[in-house]
Amino acid sequence: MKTGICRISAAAILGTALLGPAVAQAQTQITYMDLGPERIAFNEEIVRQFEAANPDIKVNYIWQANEPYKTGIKVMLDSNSPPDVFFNWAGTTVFDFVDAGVVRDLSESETRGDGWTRDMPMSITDQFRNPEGLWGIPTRIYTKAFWKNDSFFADNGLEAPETFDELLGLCSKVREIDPQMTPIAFGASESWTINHYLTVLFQRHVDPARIAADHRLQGDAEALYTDPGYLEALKDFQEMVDADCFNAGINSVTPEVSRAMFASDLAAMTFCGSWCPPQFDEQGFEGRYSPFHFPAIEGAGGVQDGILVGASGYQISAASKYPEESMRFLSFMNEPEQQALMVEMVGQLPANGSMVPEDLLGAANTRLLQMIAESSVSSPPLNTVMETTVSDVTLKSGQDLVNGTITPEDFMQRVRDAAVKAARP
Amino acid sequence: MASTRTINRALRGPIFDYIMIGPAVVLFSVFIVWPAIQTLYTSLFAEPTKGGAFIGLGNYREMMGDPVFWIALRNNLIFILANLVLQVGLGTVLAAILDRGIRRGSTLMRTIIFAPLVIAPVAIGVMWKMILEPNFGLLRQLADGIGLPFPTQGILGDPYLAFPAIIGVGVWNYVGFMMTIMLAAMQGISKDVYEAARIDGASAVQTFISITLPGVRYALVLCGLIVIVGSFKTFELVYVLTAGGPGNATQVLGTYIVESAFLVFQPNYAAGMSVIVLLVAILFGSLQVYNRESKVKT
Repeated sequence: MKTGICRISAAAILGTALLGPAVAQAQTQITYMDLGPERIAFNEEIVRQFEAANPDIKVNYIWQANEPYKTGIKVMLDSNSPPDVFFNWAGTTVFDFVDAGVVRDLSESETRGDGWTRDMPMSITDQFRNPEGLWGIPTRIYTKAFWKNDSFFADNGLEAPETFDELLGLCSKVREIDPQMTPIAFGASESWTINHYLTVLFQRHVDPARIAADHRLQGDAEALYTDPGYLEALKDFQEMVDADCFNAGINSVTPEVSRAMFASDLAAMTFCGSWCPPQFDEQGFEGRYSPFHFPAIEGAGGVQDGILVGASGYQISAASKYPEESMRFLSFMNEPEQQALMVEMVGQLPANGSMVPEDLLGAANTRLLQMIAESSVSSPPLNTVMETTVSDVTLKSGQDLVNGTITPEDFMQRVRDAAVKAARP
Repeated sequence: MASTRTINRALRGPIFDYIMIGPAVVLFSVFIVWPAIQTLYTSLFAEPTKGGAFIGLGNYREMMGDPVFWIALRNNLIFILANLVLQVGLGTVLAAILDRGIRRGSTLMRTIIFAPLVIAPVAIGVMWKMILEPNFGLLRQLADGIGLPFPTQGILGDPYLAFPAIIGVGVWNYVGFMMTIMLAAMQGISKDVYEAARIDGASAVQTFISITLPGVRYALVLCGLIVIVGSFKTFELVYVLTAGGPGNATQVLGTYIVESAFLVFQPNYAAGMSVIVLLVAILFGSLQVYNRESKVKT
């Protein structure tokens, strides 16, 4: 009896040892890297659904938070085991990766008419395209607007400002009404948040064609970023700081804390992205806020009804051993059901809004989509479209401007110097 | 019997020496020497986004004209000096107090001072970020409570206060380590010498200067070198607390290298800066070896 049990056990162990690797080898493994933590639950669900529909593919899902991701993805792509599918913001880094030869051209999938191409607006897909190919697939768009605390505004008879001067006036009014109330919650310990203000202020002051040419370093290098509108935009931003519109310690407050301040009735307004409402809701602020456009600036030479809109999506690593499987996963993520699930679980705006039933979008997202439709021009954030070294200078100089250690003139001089250097062959 | 003799002879021969140091040499070559050579080689080429051609010392020339590089280098030097004075100095004083001053509770004091060292730098960074938060942080609450003004830009957001704050957190983190080394050295000094000094009428300060300090000079040099090399390579604390900001105010070479390589996408320029850091680390490492050898001779 004992010998029999021993034999069976030995056979089971041997069988597991021999068959285990064979079973594991039959399954293709792809690595998927995304932003977190707000998308963890959604991604886990997507991976579960995809693996159920594709039992031959296993998806290893990894994530990093916003700021570390920007470094992390570059480290991963430089390593011997880059992720097969990874998130990226449309813009400069997409094409930095193209130049470095670490991403795959996805034109074939578009030509083939894979699922994701259905009703996808070309203008959004184009944010991942250059003359050499298509280097990513958009899955979501993001925008930025001012959000107001509806009850505070209603209780004190305040209106959403329509002009920049009204906004400055509103800052003073809020301080008068309640000295403990911050007019606009703002955290710039991560300097991209300053860049979002500057994106819209540049849009208000400078011709969009000029901005696009400067970002692409086109034309005479010495003439880059010399439009006087840039300086005016920076002065306006400084005016907001000087008018006491923001909370204390802008440069040491994280974006998360500024969102929490707004959602805790400690700030009357905040300039926040389409990714913010789910975070406001999590803090019990649901239904107590609404968005409004960044005000027009009277007499400024740019576009007064423009808005910040960027796209983000996914790229496939050039080193991926399983490009077909990776593409299958990407396409799956952009199917109508999965896009709807994203809206439902994460509250983000889908790249292809037409694929998602309106009732799923929610009040905040529906209003944001309306605001995008109302705007004549949409500009992606500076830090995603400027040349990388110029963007770095802009990001750093924003914090210096807030601190008052440089003037708007110094700021633009730094940007021009960086642009001239970057434009050099 | 004969085979035992053969083994003994083999154990005394040079082949055995080579066998014993072989793994260390291989690991050192693979993980230190080879990457260093590769880094040096990489630094001689232009960035991949600019064609990647051989440019010789071009990246080093660019470094000389890069104001952020000089800010980072200056901050590293300030960090070294401040840590030498505060970490080693304070560590020595604390060790002396624990060795000769405090009669009761010295174990508890030692544990409290040493405790921050076992916390991961990232956790330390997060914890201090919360303490220094300008709207709701503990320090702000304390300042408000006793009616003291708080800096408008907070502490980590102020270009003049952020770096001193990082130094302060670093001292809090490492002073226990320095204290432990110094305390071990102090406890190696014979009590008879102190007794003789006491009989001769030496004061506590005289005893410290004439007996304790000379007795712990090698430990002092060792602590100094650890602090210099550690401060020159510092990264995590700065990265977590300020990421080199606001602007570039708290940039050190470690953070600037990471930023250049992985955020601005200039890996070759970053490799050049890494070579500079490596050369300085080798210089101070040699001093440490020299210190150890002179100690052996003495």
